[in-house]
Amino acid sequence: MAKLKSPQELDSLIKELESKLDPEQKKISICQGTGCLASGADKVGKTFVDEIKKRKLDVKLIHTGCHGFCERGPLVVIHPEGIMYQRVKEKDIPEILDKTIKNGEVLKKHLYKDTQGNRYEKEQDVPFYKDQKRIVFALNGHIDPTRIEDYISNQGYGAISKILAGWKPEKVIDTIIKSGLRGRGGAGFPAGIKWQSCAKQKNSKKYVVCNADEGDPGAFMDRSIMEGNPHSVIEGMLTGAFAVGADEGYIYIRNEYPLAVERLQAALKQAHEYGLLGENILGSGFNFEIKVNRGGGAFVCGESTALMQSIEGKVGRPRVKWQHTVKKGLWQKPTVINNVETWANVPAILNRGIDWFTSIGTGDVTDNPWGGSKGTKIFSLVGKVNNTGLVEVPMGMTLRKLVFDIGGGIKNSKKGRKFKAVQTGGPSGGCIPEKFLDNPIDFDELEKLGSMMGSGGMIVMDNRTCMVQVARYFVDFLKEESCGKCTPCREGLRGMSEILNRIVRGKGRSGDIDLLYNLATTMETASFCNLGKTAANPVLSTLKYFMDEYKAHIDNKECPARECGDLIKFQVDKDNCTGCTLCAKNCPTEAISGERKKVHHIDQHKCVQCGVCDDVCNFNAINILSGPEINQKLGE
Amino acid sequence: MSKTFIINPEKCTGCRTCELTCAYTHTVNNQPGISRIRAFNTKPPMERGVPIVCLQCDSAACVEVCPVGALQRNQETGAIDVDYERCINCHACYSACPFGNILIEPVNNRIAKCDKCGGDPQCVKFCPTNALEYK
Amino acid sequence: MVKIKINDKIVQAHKWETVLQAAKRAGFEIPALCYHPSLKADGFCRLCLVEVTKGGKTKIDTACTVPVKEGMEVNLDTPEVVKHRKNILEMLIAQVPDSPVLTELAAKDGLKDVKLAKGEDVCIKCGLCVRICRERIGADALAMQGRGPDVTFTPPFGEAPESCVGCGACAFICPVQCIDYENNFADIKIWGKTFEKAVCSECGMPLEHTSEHIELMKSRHEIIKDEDVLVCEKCSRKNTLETMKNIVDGQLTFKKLGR
Repeated sequence: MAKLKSPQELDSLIKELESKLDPEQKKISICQGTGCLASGADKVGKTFVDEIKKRKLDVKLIHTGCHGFCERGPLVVIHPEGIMYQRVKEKDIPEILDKTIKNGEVLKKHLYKDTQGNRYEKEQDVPFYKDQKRIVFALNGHIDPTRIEDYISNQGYGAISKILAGWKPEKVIDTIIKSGLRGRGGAGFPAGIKWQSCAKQKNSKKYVVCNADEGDPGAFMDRSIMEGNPHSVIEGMLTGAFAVGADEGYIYIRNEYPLAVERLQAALKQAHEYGLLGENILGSGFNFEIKVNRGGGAFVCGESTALMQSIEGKVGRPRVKWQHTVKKGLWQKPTVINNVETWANVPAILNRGIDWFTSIGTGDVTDNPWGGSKGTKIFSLVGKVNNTGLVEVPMGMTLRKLVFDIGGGIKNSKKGRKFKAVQTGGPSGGCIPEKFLDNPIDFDELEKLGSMMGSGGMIVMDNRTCMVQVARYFVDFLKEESCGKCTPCREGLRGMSEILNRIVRGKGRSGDIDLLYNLATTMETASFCNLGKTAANPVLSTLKYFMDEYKAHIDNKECPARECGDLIKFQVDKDNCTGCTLCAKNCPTEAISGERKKVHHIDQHKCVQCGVCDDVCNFNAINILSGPEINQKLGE
Repeated sequence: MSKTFIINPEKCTGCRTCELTCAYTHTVNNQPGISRIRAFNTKPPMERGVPIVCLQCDSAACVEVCPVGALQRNQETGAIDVDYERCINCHACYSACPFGNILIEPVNNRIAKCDKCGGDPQCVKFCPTNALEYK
Repeated sequence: MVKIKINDKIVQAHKWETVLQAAKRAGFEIPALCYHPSLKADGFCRLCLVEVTKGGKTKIDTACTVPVKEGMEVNLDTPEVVKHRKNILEMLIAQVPDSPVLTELAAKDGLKDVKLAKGEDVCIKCGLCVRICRERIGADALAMQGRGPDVTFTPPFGEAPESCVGCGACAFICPVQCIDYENNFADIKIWGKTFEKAVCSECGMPLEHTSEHIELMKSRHEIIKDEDVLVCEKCSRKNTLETMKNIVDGQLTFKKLGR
């Protein structure tokens, strides 16, 4: 392929490739995202290739990036009808090809079924997808991420062709400011303002950096963007570089994402071949080069200065910001650093305009970029919900809609599990209790509730999740990941971890809550970087909304959620037990004894409180005791 | 041009009053052993003393070699002064001085050198024969 | 010069100074364990907390990392500041219980009972040793290793460091004196390594430095010459004396002396 020499050439290429797209063409898109790969999508994809060859079918097979509905993988969508098959196995493939592709017959057994038993034929009707609004993920289920042509045929690189055809950098910046795009990495700083301050720095080499060091437990939206649509990130960075006057860019990506690294590198190569990267891009005289920099997977390297240290070849630890990074960032040069999702939003905004973007979301950003949250946000919805996966929703959607409509409600609600809280924003975020379920989700609302948008992790918890354990988990995670440089973060987390671990073991002391508060406030005020400043959030928010659970642990040695192993005992309910022996068969320590059709008994000395008996029991015959109950009911 | 020491070896009797004065002025325990000026008695046939003290060189090796910039020229007196706040006791200056005019105080192991007593050198005042002059 | 207000006192500060430097110069006392005038502040210990008001915004920040700005107001001892400083001190003293420096600071702030679980560390993790070695000495023999509470400041892999020159600056700069350093007559012992001192090329007495350190100095500074640095103090003086004698005797002109 020849290098494109002008925006006009790119435009005509887009038109040419677009005209080749046949909307009536039979297409099978197979998700090859990490989630689906884990459930066997690799073999499914290969089998499809073989079987189609065998049958000599006229059907286009697309190995796409992540569709989002990872819980139901491997996902297969058949276009143009949009039939979605879930949990497809290799052995199902001949039938799908013979019946659905050849005869148009819909195979009911592969369709998604919700908890009420309704089946959904079309992808767009599935509750998980119905209420989503996909901007960044729009192409994820449709294009092959390894082919730049697929991206270009969908208006790809249209934004760069538009701005290189005569836009001034100021106009690009103005568009981004007016669109109200706020950084998707967590803090929600308006991207346009950041670009503007960097563009103001004159006579200097400048850098743009893409922060792809996604380290929050349970968050994988950046990974899916890079795996599913790497060119959108590249186009976003190109736009940003043009706007601020940078000629070099870095994508800092964790080495734990090998597929994303591979896809990005392939995408960069293709963009080079088309002349969309390198020198004199589209004959405009604008040069830009992107390098992929792999990180060793330290959580703290997501912090902007630590990330820059790491790119510079030093140990990734936050450094003092004598000046803001837009003035002195990477190698002490002006640097714009944005998150993957932020960059991926940029081309869409330039293609479709400010009005379109500002029509989505909350607040008013005409005069004040902080005035609201515009556009969409991708959340990774995980935890105790039925439909887990990646969802892209407009800002301002209520938590209830997200958890109960898109997420399909709480898992095992038949067993009496109820919604308790949702943890947003990763380890630095906080827990939001049920009473705020109807609050809209946007940057400012979440912060008001003591949490944060973060990178968009959303962990749903039910009434069997102990909030002290949640706080302990995140504090322990952060303790391991703190860089250890500043005292409040290093020692504060050590102290909090010690106290929380003591509380969940039933060794809590009366002054512990005050001590936690004390440590948390000092960490918030005095820590060096935002990792430490926000590290107390899990503790502070659970203390705020679930103080009674802490008190129960400390005062009564009781775990209200029945999760803390040291505080609970299992007992067979004499009235409900039918003697089915299921629990005894499943008990890993053989602590349960009893004859068939007779009430079983748990030997407390052998029991390790794993909870398997409760999980398998169909008759609700396992009582979990905690606190004073133990002495009353066990009486031993 | 700041004032400087003028040494007249022909006037020096080797009495070492300068050493004592320096020790009284600068050391805690009045130890002449760590005086910053030394009057050497030369052996026969010359038979005279020569006081040796920091020359406050223009391009001084001690200043150059100090890794933390603790040795700085005092613009008022022209002396090279030690900033003990900055000093990290690496003793690089001690080795670097070609004349051996920086010494180490054994008490606290830190370096010491002539600071011209802040512009009023006491050794000059007390020299009985005017072998030391400061102008 | 810019004017800033510290505890209601107007202080003149240099443009390039930080609040900590300006306050110290003006005679205020701010506890700071990771600060050293010869190193750029890096905000490790967080003890130098002050309340800074600038442009209408008030926040608590570390004095060592805030550059002065015209019209800035600084408050050193608000109850908030003292509370957080005490908490940080408590965190440190819990880990390093036997340090006289910390005990003294704690007494000043009225910190009595330490509620946090006690450790047995000796290092307060201020990072000065690593920074002085890397940034000033240029040996780069030490590193900050590990993460979170397990962070240590040691030579790589905790072994005797290859690039250490035995200068002892790390031991000297350590605010809690937790680095073992022995300066003997003929050798220096540090980081589990024994360095022979170089000897005077004239009298054979051990010099102050190890030959590794002298090599490092020579590589960093052109002005360092063997004939200066490999001669002990006494022999240097003697040489000077000889030169002087020659001058007096008219065999040398004064120009040859000095630089």
